[in-house]
Amino acid sequence: MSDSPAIEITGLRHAYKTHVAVSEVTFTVAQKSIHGFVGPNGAGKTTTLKVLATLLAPQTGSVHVFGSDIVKDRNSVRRRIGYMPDHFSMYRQMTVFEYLDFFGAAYGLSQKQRDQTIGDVLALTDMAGRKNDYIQGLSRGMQQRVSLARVLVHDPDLLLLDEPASGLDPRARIELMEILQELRSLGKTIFISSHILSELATLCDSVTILDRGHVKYTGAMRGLITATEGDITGYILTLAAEHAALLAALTALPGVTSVRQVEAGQPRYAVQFDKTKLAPNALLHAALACEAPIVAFQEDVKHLNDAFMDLTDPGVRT
Amino acid sequence: MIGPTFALFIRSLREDTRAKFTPIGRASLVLVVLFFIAIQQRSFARQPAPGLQVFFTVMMVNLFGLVLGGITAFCSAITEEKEDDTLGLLRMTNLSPLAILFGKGISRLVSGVLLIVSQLPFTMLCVTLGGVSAATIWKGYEVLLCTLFFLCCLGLLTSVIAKRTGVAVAITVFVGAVLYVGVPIIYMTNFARNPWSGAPTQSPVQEALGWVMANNPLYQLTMLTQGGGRGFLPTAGSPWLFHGVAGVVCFLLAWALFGRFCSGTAETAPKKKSAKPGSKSLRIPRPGSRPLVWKDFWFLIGGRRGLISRFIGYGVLTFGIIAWAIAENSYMESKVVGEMMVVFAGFGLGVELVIGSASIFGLERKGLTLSSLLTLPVPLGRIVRHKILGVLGSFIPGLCFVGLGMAMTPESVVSFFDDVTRRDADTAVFIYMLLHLIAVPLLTCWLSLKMRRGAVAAAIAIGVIWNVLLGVMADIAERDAFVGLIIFASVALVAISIIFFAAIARGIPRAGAVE
Repeated sequence: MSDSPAIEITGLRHAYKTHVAVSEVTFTVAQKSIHGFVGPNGAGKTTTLKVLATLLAPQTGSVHVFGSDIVKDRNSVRRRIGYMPDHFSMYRQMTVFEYLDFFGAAYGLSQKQRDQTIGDVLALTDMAGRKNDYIQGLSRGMQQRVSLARVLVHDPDLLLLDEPASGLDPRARIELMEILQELRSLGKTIFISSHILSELATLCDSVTILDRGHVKYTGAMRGLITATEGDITGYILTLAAEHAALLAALTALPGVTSVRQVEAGQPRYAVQFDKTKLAPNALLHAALACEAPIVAFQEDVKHLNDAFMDLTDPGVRT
Repeated sequence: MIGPTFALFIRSLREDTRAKFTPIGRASLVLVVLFFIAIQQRSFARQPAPGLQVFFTVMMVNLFGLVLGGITAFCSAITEEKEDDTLGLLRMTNLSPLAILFGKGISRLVSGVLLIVSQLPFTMLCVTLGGVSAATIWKGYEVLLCTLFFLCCLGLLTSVIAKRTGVAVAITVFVGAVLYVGVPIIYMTNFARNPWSGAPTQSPVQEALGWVMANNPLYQLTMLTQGGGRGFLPTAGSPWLFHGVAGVVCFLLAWALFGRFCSGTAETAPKKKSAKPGSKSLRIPRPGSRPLVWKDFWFLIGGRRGLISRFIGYGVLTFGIIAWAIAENSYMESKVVGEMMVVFAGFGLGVELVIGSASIFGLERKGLTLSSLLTLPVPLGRIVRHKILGVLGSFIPGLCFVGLGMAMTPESVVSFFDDVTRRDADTAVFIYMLLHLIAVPLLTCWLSLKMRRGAVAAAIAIGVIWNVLLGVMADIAERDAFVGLIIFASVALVAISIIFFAAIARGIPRAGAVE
C-alpha cells in the first residue's frame, strides 16, 4: 500500500443545475484512520460521498483515493472502496448468504474465497446465525448489519459509510461503533458521515465539518474539541470548595493568559496559558502549593456538539 | 367529516396540477386529435364521412389508452401504499377508509376525466368535416367516461384486496378480459352457429350474455359510428346503467373490504418469512463467473420455477386453442392451431419483452439497488449486457411455442415469407415491424428509468399512438408514396432507437446517483 492519503480531495465543486451542492471542498484523510464527516442537512455530505463512491464525477477539482484518480482509475478505485449509502440498497428477495455471495462473485472472488470472506464478515457483524434468512424478514438493525457485511465482502481498504447509524436503536448503534473500531484495528480506513456527534467524537481520529457546501473545519478531532489556539491551551481545575488565594496564585504564574470562574458560585476555573512557557504539571503544582482542595484537573475539552454549533450557521440552506 | 375525507383527494389534485406530465399529456392528446382532423381534412374530397372516421379513430385511441392507463393507475392506488409500507401511517391519521379511497382513487379518476374532457372541444371539430353529429360525439365521450369510472372502481377494489400491484393488475385484467373479450366471443360463437335464433327464443343466459355485450364499450362505440344492432347483434345499452351500477358496487365493496384487507402495515406489507434451510435457497446454485446473469435469471425472471410457469402458461394457451379448434370443427386442424399458436405465443413474447425491458433497470431503481451495482468494478456496458443475458431466459418458453406453432404449419410460414418478399411494400412493412423489437424495449427501458410506475403502459400507449398516426397517414397516402412513408418511419424508428440507447446509457448512472 502506498503512502498516499486514503482520500485526497482538492477544490471539489459539484452543482445540480443551478444549485451548488459543494464548492471548493478540500481535505485529506489519512490511511487506517476513522474520519468523521459532519454537517447539517443539505450541507453536501452525500454529494461528496457519491463523488468518492464514483457515482458522480467531480465537475471541477480532483479526487484521489489511495493516490488513484477516481475518474481515470475508476475501476481500480472501486475495488478498494466499499460504499454504504444512506438507504437500504438490498435485494430483499434474497437470503443473507445469497446476497453476500452475489456481491462477492461480482467483485470477482472465487467460490472458496467467498466462503471464507462471507463467514468472516457474518461473524464480524454477528449475523452468522441468520445467513439463511430472507433479507426482507430482517429488522432494520439487522439489515444495516447485512449492508455493512456487503460493503466488507470484497475486503476494501476504504469504507464510505453514509449515516450508517441512522434509525438504529442505542444498542445497535453502540454495537456498530464497536464493529467500526474493530475494522480500524484491521487496518481499514473509515470515512463516516453521521449526525450522532457524541459517538463520532469518541470514534474518529479526524473530522471534516461541512456547511452549505463549504468546509468549515478539517483536521484532527482533538484539535476541534480542545480549547487550543496556537500555543495557548486551556485546562479546567475543579475544587471541592471556593479558594480565595488560588486565583491570584495562578494569575501570577508565567505564561498564564487568563483565569476565570466557569460558572458563578461553582468552584470550577478555566485556566488558559502558553504551553511553551508553562507546563500543565507546573500549573497543578502551583495549585497544590496553595493547598486548594483539588477534585479534578483536566484539559478543557469542548463537546463536539458545541464545536459543531460554533462552526455552522443557523437555519436551513436555501 | 368533510375535511379529512377530502384532504388526501385535494392533495392529490394539487400534486396532479403541479406535475409536469399533466399539461404535456393533455396537450399531446389534443395534438393527436388535431393531427387526425388535419390529415382527414387534406383528403376531404376522397373519403366518405371524414368526420366520422376521425371520430372513430379518436375514440379507439382513447379507449385503448384509457384501458391501459386506467389499469396501471387505479390498480396501484392502494397497493403502492402497501408496498411502500405507508398504509399503516395513513391509517394512523384521521383518514377514514372512505377518505383514503377518495384520495387515492377518485383523484386519479378526476385526472383521467380531465384528460378525456380536454379533447372534447377539438373532437367537436369533426362535425365540420361531416358524417358525425355533435350528439354522437357527446355519446362517444359518455361511453368513455362511464368505462373510466367502472375501471377506476374495479381497480380500487382489486387494489384493496391484493397485496401487490402486479396481482391487482392481473385480477383486473382477468375480470376485464372475461367481460369485454370472453363474453362477446361466447355470444358471437353461440349465435354464429344459428344466426336465425331470434331474440324471442333466447334463454336467460343468452339474454344476460347479450346484455353484457351490449354494454361493451368497444361494441357501443362501434355501434355508435356504424349504426344500431343488426340481426342477432343486440342494441347497444345505456353506458351509465351497466358501468355506473357496476362501478358503484365495486366502490362500495372496496370500502366494505378495506378494513379486512388493509387492517395494518404488519399484515398488509408484502413480507416473506425466513427461508427454511434446505428449501428454495439450497436449490439455487451459487453464482459463477457471471453473477449479474445469475441474479437476474434467478431473482428477476424466477429461475427454473419461472420458466416452468411460463411453459405451463403457454401450454394452457395451446390446449385452449386446440380445444377451441376441436369444438369449432369437430377435429383438430394442425394448420389453424399452428397459426394461432404463433400469433398468441408471439403476442405473449411481445408482452414479456416489454415487461422485461421495464424490469431490467426499473426494478433496480425502485429497490434503490442501482447505486450498489454501479459501484462494482465492472464497466457499465458489461453490467447492461449481463443483465440482458439474465432476462433472455424468460423468452425461451415463448420461443419454443412459436417454433412449435411454425413446425405445425410449415406451409403457412413459407407462404408468409413468400408474401413478405414478393412486394416492396410488404417487405418494408415487415422490416418496420421487426424494428419495433428494438425500439419498443429501448423506449420502455428508458421510461422505467424516468417513471416509478406505469412504464409498460406508457410505452405501449406511445407505440400505439405512433402506429395509429402512421396508419392514418398511410391510409391517405398515394400508393407510390406508401413504401416511402414506411421507409421514412423505419428510419425514424432507427433514429429513435439510437437516441433512446444514448439516453439510457446516460440515464443509468444518473438514476444510480440520485438514489
